[in-house]
Amino acid sequence: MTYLGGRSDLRVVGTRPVRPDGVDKVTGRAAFGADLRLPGMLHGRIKRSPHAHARILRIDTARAAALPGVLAVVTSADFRKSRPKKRSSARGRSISAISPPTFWPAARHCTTVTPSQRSPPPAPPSPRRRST
Amino acid sequence: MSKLHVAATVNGEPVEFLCEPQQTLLDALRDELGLTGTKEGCGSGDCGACSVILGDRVVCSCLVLAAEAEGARVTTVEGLADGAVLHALQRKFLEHAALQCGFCTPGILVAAKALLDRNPQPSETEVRFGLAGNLCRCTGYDKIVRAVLDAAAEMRGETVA
Repeated sequence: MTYLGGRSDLRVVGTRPVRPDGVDKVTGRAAFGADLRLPGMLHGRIKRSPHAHARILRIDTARAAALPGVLAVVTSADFRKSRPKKRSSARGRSISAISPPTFWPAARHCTTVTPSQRSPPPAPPSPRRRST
Repeated sequence: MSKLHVAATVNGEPVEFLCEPQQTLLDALRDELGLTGTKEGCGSGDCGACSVILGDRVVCSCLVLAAEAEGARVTTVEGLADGAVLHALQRKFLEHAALQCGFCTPGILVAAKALLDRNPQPSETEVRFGLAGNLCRCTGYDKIVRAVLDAAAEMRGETVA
């Protein structure tokens, strides 16, 4: 370790420590967020717009809400400060979320949410979004 | 909806579980058997985080139905270590710092084990090809490839300087 000027008081620099969480991670024991299971835990799934560019006219949540195990379907209508509907472009925006009690039904039920849409002409670039 | 009864061998242990007909092997492993070492990354077979060995093939468990595991042998990351003794791949991953966040690690370890099971002396190209279905976004592939090559050498009884 001559490049460190022969310092002998360095305990970390120049060593190859095994990361402290390494063993848990190579054995699969490490708990990531999605690995936690708590009593009464709910799961949510986000349904994103299937249309790259569209005006959302209506979101039909009736079928999803009626499915067994689904506790809530949340859309922008549930938030007071949501953007006005007329201006909402559907570009990748999440339009509803569901909270059934288990992961599997969440994935399945989520797909039954059907937004009605008709494609508007491509929007001109907004002055506010223009770069430079 | 009636559930299906599935009997399989997971990591050498006979297991039985109930699953829905559409349930994936990944969800069955994680939710029915509590083996959360296998991760869901993309859910569409692109990332390899959910890789398990089914029979003698590496599969994306998110693309396999749980019912397809009936009567089959399944190996997950939890089945690599022998009790408290880590598999050579696991030790070499730690030694070579071949993991950071660790989310892709279970799938890569499983894919690497399947590779070494059928080819104990892979070239670097073969290792890279064998792990081509596994994406890692933080560590970088060089350290992973070196760890696999080093593990293979050790398993063959060679020592690498």
